[in-house]
Amino acid sequence: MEEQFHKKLEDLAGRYETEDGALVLSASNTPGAMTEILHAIDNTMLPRLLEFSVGQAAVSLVAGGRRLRAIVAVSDDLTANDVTLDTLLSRDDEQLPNQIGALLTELNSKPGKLTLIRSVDARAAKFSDGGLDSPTLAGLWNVALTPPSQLGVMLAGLGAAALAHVEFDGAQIAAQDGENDICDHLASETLRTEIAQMLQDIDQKRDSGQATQMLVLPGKLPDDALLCVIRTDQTDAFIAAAGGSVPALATLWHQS
Amino acid sequence: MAQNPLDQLYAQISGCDTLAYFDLSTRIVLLKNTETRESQDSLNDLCAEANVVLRDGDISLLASADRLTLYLRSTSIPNDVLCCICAPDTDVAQVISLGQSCLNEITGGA
Repeated sequence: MEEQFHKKLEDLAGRYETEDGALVLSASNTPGAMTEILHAIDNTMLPRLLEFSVGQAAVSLVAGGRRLRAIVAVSDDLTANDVTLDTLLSRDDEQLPNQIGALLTELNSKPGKLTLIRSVDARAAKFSDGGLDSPTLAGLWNVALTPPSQLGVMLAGLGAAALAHVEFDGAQIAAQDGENDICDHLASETLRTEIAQMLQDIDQKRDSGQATQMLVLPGKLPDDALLCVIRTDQTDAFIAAAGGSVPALATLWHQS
Repeated sequence: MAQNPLDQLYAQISGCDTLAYFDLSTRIVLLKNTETRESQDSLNDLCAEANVVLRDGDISLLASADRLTLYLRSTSIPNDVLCCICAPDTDVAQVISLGQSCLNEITGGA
């Protein structure tokens, strides 16, 4: 479902084509290729395996919480493949992220299209916290990170005190970057059930072509925070305690 | 004959598609702008939707790819609600401001 959300955002932006189920991020050998990789990391909230490929060459990374957490596989045709796998990246060790940067640079030096397959994978689940965010990696890799990723724009613009990614038909998966008391509200089963019911009620009244993708509701959270539901599909949404105002969120929605 | 207040509001909001005025207690559509393309059934559905999304608040915004739907509750008669369907780039702050004035005019509020 996470993948569907990203695909939806990408579709909205009209940015990416797909090829054999993979997103085509860019042509390799272009300055923007590394930026696209950083955006992909920045757009990954839940632990996921990101496999970047150019032709047969591939680098598999674990990302989550909008951070790069580890490298878990490298194809043999990359010469810089002598890198420590399955190790959590940290700010205390610049060597590993720099090695990953060199690997990705080599990957992008190969002729072809840079593609991404984002998937749920047991290796991703091993790293549930920590890692380095895209701005930090951009500094280490000397890559310009502008413009920011689309999800980054939306989330930063929300001015969210807390954010959760919710699957309505299962357990809540993640609440991140949040103030504890607000997180508790977002994590409540009552709220999750209410939102799910609300979206279901709305769907029943709407034509399928008018699916509601964002919903802003005051009065649900303390401290005048707005409850902002950014829907991913029928059962999946980001919910955030957003700052700002209803008009500001409408503008943000239109711009993103 | 007095002009429909929703038609006046409609003329003031760029990008507005539909305006409707509901009584949530009876779930009745009391008024709509003359030019609306929404059917009566569709307006009834919007009224039901307003009941859902305004359960705890006075305003709510629903966004889809091609339109915004704003529900605005009257400050003087809480069961009275204005619904505005508009383009995604509509100035929502203006809609809220003008919409509240329109509600006040209709309900006789301050």
